[in-house]
Amino acid sequence: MKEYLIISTSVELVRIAADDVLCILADGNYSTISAVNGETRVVTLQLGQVERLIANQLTSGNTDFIRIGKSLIINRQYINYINIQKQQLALSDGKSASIMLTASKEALKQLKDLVVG
Amino acid sequence: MTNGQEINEDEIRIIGGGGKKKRSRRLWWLWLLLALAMVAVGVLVVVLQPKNQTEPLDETPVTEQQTVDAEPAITWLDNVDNSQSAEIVVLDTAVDSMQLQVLIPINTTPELYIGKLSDSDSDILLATMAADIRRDNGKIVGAYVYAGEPLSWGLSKRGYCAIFDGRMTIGVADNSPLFEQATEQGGFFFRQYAAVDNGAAVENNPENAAPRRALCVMDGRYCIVACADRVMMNDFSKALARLGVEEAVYLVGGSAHGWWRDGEGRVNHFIEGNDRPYNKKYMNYIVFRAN
Repeated sequence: MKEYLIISTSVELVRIAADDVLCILADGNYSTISAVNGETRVVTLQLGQVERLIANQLTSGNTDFIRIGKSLIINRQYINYINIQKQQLALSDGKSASIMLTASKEALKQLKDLVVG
Repeated sequence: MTNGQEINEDEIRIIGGGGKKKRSRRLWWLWLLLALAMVAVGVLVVVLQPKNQTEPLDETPVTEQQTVDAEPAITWLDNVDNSQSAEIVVLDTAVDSMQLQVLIPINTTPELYIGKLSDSDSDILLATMAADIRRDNGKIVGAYVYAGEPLSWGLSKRGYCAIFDGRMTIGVADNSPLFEQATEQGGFFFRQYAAVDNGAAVENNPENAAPRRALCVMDGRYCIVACADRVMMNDFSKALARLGVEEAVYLVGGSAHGWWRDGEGRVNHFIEGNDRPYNKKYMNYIVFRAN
């Protein structure tokens, strides 16, 4: 059974399967949700508020979502490539969805350690 | 729970799940051990301390340090001479170490403006972005009326500002008849986050720190209070309330375009170096024109 996230504000609602979320990017007072199918949704919530909504809805044991710095939340299932020197992080589902992001070297180092375990 | 807390660019954290819980439990034990150790040290000190040293050596009463409030802002507003020609009076102050700039339009008429605005229009003494614009579709967030024409609908934020015949009303309400009134009477209306309602700070959700601006009523006068430093929204609201602001709504903050003209006609931008408006259709301002 799919686990769904509901990102709701006073005027809009986004319902999306947690597995379908590629990443969420901060954009000032807004956040852009990028889905695996290529769709993007902008919600009038700051990234911290989205983070809190996700945290309140995820079942315990689900550690897929990782906040990286001030402006990014990623779904670790889709981590495809990390280059610490170039500060690059690529997310991909191995098919159509792919996105290249940047993050600080230190954050990427921690992320790499987390993935390697 | 970890989430929604401050985070640095160099940090990562797992959202929800169990990773963080383990860590906090470890910390809980650490704190317990630390507390027990401190209690043990305290008991040892009391037991081993010679009795004569436990008596007070000096009976001089300790004077409690008192915090003295800054002189209320209302006093300076009273001193602003209303008979001057049209200008923007700028006063600098601080509340709880937050540096604030109070800009008081004198002999001016407020109105809204939509579109690209040039700072070369010398009739405009103060202009600053008013309602938020959505990044995805470029449209105005919340109800908005421009010269009687409604351009946007809906309640997204509870603060509002309405202008009719040069008279401004700001307040906090889910539904305001002033929206309809603005459409009927050729007035202006926009919505923004509420900052102060009846002298009390209003709590808001956004948690990021940014330069802030608010349209305020203080001692019956309209003014704009700006903080160029990055501050939390709720801290800014509290500072406004402490300043003596009775009602206030936020204006677009951060690096939003805006300026005021000083007595010698020089243009001063709220954010130094940010002298260009964004290229958006619904870019909108509140402006104060010289009478």
